[in-house]
Amino acid sequence: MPKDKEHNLSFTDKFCSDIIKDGMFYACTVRSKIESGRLLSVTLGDDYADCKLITAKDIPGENAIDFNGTKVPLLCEDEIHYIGEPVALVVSSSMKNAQKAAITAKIAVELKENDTNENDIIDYERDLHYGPCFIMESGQAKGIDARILEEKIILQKNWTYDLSPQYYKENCGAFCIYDGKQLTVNTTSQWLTKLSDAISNITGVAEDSIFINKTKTFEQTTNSLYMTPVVACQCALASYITKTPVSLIFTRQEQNDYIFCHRPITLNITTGSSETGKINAIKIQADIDSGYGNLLAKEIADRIAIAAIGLYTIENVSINIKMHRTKKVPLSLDLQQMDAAAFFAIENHISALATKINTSNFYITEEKEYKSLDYKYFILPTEIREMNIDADKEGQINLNLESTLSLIKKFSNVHIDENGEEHYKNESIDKYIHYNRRMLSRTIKSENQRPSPFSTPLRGIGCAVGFEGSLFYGTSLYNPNLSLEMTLETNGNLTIHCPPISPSIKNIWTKTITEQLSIKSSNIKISSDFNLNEESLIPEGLSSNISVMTRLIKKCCEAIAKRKEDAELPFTVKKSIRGSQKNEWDKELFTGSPYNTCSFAFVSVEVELDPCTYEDKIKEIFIIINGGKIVNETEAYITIKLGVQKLLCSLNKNAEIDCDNINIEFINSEEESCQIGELLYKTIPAAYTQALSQILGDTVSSIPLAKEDIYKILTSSNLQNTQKSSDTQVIQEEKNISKEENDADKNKTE
Amino acid sequence: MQIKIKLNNKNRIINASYDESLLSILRKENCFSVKCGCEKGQCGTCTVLVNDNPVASCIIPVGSLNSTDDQNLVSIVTMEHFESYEEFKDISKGFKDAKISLCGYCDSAKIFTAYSLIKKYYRPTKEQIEASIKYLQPCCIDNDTFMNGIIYAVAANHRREGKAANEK
Repeated sequence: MPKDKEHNLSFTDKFCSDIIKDGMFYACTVRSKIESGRLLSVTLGDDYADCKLITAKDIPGENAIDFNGTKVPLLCEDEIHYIGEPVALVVSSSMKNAQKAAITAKIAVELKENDTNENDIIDYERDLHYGPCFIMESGQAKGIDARILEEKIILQKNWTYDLSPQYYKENCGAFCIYDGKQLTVNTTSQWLTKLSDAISNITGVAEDSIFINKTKTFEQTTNSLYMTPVVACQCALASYITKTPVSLIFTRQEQNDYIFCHRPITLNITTGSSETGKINAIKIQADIDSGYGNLLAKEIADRIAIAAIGLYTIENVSINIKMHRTKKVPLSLDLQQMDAAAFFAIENHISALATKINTSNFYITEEKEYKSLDYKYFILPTEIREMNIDADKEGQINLNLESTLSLIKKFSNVHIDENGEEHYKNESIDKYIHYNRRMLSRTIKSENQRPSPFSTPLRGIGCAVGFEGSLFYGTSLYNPNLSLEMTLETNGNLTIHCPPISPSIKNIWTKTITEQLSIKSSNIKISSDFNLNEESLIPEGLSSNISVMTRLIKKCCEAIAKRKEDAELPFTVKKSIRGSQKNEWDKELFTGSPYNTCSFAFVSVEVELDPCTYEDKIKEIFIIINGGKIVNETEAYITIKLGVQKLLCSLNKNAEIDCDNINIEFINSEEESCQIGELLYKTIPAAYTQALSQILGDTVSSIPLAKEDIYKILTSSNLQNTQKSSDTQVIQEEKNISKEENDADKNKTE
Repeated sequence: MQIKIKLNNKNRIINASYDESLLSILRKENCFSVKCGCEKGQCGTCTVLVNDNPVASCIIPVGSLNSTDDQNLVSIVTMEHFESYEEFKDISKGFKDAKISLCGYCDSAKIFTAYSLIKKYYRPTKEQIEASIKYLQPCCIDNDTFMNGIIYAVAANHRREGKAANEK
């Protein structure tokens, strides 16, 4: 219950599923088992006569929640739009009965004929073209396909990303108590600002009689943003109708199917580049199954597009991302990893390009199978990256590319000037400057190795670059204006007015405040008394962004430092970060700086494969991060290490992959602190698959992999190599025969 | 079916079907420290002590714990009761020294794993700790920090019990 009636929002660190009350009931959702049709009726089995069934007809008010102009229905009323759509609620005194009743409920539907027009609806399309090849010349533009064909090296690949890390935390849900006058809603929802408004519209209970108690939340996915408020409203409805406390908590299966609903994302990339690796034209296409009614379809598509073309300066670009509406649950991605598929695709593509350039320069001579390597023609993936990043040029998307370049140079350390002097040499990471050496040695070895159960373990190494952007300006779902208030009290204490924060974030803020205002950490308090109409309450997964909030803390501290000598205590300061103006990020033209801050990472992964069991192990992961000022290096280190451990559980379908050697370095600077927690998901998967590609002698273009997939790639690659050798042998034999014939003819003539 | 167990040091008779999971029975008994996770015995969020050994309660059918001998009932301890143990104080101290702040959902998994190591080994080696924590789902802290927490907990336990450094 809220402490004070004036504040109709409160926070608790209890879990929603742990809240109980005498006489409470349990609610479960009845879901559609078909993807389309007209809903006629829902009835419960005879065994569940004591359960209460609630359908759309029982809703006293509006059957919808408004998310910034988009209405999401609470319960299906007429037309079923996707498989799993909520059609009714079952309420019972026993949770087991409610669950069984929901599963066995009879749903009468009128099937519709499959309307072909419905099959290909594009919810959103991001279509972007720029470059000289699109300029009209003599009434005609060349186009990207023609431009690509002009290049010497053309590479086309499909890259499929289907990683979905497992989280076993509390399921989404709500617990509501309506006593006839007051409605208290305990919810895991992150969307709090409009929640009481929505509940009031649905139930008819006055807004000032609705109190929201926000419980602990773990969900950080796109579906959780708008499904948890829907669940809260459904639970409030059930409590309002039954006049009893009601708990509605998703089962684990529902959590997996609706909150973590992940589907593979495939990007098709075609590049045209010179022999030296300079990419002059790129075409990227993706058709993504967005599901039905995906409120973040636009944001997902835009962020994928930005990640695909943001890092590299390419003259001619064509990118087309289509979000297809299908009759499935909306696609759900982690809020901070929406663009991970794009990084996987582009980074792997760069590495595949290096392989293609290098193999196209090998040729067979009569003396040896391979000409000795001429390093002028041997190009490393890091060199291709450096070549295609032009930090000085202002591109369509403006990120701090100087950061990326400096990262790559620090890591690869191959930048040697005409005097033979090395640049960007960093003493502390000298021992790690072996990426290029290892890359070369693995490449040479992999050309010759024929794995057998008696071979030594096979090794490969891959690398990837990625960035993590904070506070995306291109969103349409919420207004990205954040503000923070701080009060300097009469007794010298400092109060920060914000929702509850984790101990690690509190450490970081405390350190910042202590440095700037010389206030002891014990005198810094957090106050979470809010009203629901506060503008700053954007969804928690977005507002708890460390880089933005740390900036706000600093701004508030500066303001307090200026005023504290003259102003009377207590006084409050409020500082804001506004969403970008048009000159920063233009949503329509898709140009500018799309994020408030950006952090960068370079990762190399060395993999070892047992040729007998086909089990892989990661020998070493090396990560170097440029995240601006690292306020607490220990916390940052732990965050990254934990992220790696979580990721290693999902790279392989069968089992967790081991890695004993994880090296993490930060490039500490005085720039704004940036979010760094999700950089790994944008870099490690690509580096891992590149390493596997090197081992297997064939491109690994999807993730995650199972042992069986590795075996198939390895055996088909061996077959190709065997075929190649036998072809070579045939050519050699023919040449020998022809040489013998020539010699015989020569002797005859003589 | 009536099932006789000793729950948090109190003899109890539970009415449940034989195959109902221990997890759901414990939550019905208001033992909310036992959390619902994977429900496959993999994540550890439902860990409880059964006869002083940590087990995943989601995969234990409660009927298998029934005992006809009232003097030797199966003992089940959840975090609610474990907080009164001296070892819990050692573990809390150790985790605090290692600057571990748990999320609240995986507490029982981590704390009971630490307890089992303290009970089993006088001074667990790094390899022994790694073998114990290997199958826990990475949640809110990384493995190295968790290992440090266990080592500090062992040290706190030795200090409290007045064990000499070379005692075995």
